[in-house]
Amino acid sequence: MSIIELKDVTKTFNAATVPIHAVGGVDLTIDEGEFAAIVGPSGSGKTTLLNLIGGLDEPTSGSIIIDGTDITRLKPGERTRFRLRNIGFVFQSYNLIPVLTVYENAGFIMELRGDPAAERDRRVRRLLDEVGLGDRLESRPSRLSGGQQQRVAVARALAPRPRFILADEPTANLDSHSAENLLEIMARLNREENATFLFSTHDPRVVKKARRVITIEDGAVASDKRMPEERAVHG
Amino acid sequence: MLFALSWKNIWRNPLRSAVVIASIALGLFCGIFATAFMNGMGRQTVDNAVTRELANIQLHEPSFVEEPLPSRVIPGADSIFAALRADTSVKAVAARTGVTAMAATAKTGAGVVVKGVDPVEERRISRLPDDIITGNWFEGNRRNAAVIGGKLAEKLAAKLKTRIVLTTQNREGELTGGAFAVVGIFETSNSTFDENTVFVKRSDLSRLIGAEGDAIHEIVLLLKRNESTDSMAAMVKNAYPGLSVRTWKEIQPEVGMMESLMRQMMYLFVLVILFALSFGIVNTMLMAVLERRREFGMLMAVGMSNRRIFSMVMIETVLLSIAGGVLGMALGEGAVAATAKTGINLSSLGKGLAAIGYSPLVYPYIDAGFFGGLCLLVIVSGIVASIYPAVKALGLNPADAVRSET
Repeated sequence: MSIIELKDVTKTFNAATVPIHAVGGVDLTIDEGEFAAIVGPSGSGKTTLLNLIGGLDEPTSGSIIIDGTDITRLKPGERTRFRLRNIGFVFQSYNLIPVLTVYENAGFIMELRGDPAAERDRRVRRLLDEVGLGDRLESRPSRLSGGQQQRVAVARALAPRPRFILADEPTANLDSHSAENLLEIMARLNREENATFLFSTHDPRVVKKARRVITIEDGAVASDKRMPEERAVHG
Repeated sequence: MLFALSWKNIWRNPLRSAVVIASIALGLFCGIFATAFMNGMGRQTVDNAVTRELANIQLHEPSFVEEPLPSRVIPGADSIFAALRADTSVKAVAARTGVTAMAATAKTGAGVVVKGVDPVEERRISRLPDDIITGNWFEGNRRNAAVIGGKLAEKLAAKLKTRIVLTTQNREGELTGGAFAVVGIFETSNSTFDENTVFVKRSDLSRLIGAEGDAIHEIVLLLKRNESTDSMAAMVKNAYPGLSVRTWKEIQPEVGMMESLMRQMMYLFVLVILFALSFGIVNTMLMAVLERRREFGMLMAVGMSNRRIFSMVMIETVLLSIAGGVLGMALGEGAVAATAKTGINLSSLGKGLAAIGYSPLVYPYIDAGFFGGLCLLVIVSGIVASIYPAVKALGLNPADAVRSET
């Protein structure tokens, strides 16, 4: 069952002056439970595409349908609420809130959604255990390594059980060991929680783990390959 | 959640927040203390005017107000006096005889206002007997005794036991005069009053102007509460429509104006301080927002609404203002409390102050209601100061902000 459906999506920057066609006529479908990577050289349009799918930017034309809702037709406020309810984000720079503890950061989006405190507590504790930070609940982000911070960010994104998670270069700032560890965790959560992950990445380690690799060149889908199932499972 | 997060955000950069809180606290402290000081001066001026010169309400025969001739006595003064003394809101009543006169000693002379008083009655209504610096307030039964102001004594080169001749009109409009011995010299904070006022016994002055019994030109009322002056005056006017009934504010409007002006100035003064401080708050919050571009981008990306982001910046700013405000108010109240009993001695400026009716010893005063208004002003300033930084935060593009360096 498809969660994300892009129909002839284009994005042109500076349309009135010197137009830059960042994305041109992309058709793409992402199914529930996928562990997919969008790859491509710098400037190929993969981050723009991810921003469009995440509702952080509006396409110049085309439609982006998420779980049956065309988000291009939503007003800004509605799109913000839609993101809160349906999309999880993992950023390259972790973007944790430094004044909150690991526990508070991981539960932040659930709290923002107004999820019941007891449910939030159970979910956050379980996820932090899953990502190996169950003993660091009261630590501040500044006391954690980059890999640990990114694991908190993954727990934060997954906590409210979004329809899918967009991860923009999640391993770019991590060393090999931390990156491998993070990818293992995400792959496991993808299997165990049937969480859908869509990465934008340069990182061959991510590409190696992905079950589907979508290559973008000059703003268009150059190739779309599905990998054998055991690749993602066993790395 | 927003409240707790905003409070934690304030302490992200403790030094910067402490500087802002300290500047707000210092500004408010100065504002509160200066306000309390001015307020104290204003209150003392009113208090001096009411308890030493004017009392709360004065009754006269209407034409006496226009021209104080000895014949213009209050008709039926005794019964009016008795009726007013019976009123529960009245603390004390005094009846006075009043004339204008020339006071002369062997050396020089000066125009004066002579008030004929019952010394016992007057002591109940006026604190002037406490201001005697030499001599006494009509002790004993000595006839033709006078108590004069220090300035007048200086002017007439008079001291205790000096005989001064008071020349005035009698009831028939003819010149009359009498010699009075100085038994007391007073000094108030109002040098003009000290320079032109002579107190004598009512019976002596009545005799001098040829009245049968005591001539009552003026009945003065001291009320238990100054705040009831206007309502009581209205009642007295109603009861005695044939008399001139004036409050201290009507007799000396400049004192009343000064008091109300100072009340308005209090808020204006603090408002100006808060307005100036709000620029510092805006600057700090703007820095805080720009330093956290990536974080605001993340918050927008994950679905925090504009309303919540705006509220977060606003709560942060208001909390910062309140922290400074509370500290400033505590410091201000502490300083006012510390000086309210001892007073602040401005004797180096004392002569100048006395010339315009102020006491050189100022007792700062601030009423509790002012702090309520101040809290509101601090909160409003915080809200106003948060608008620009909050709008800046909302203007961020989340897709760009999450990838920014800060």
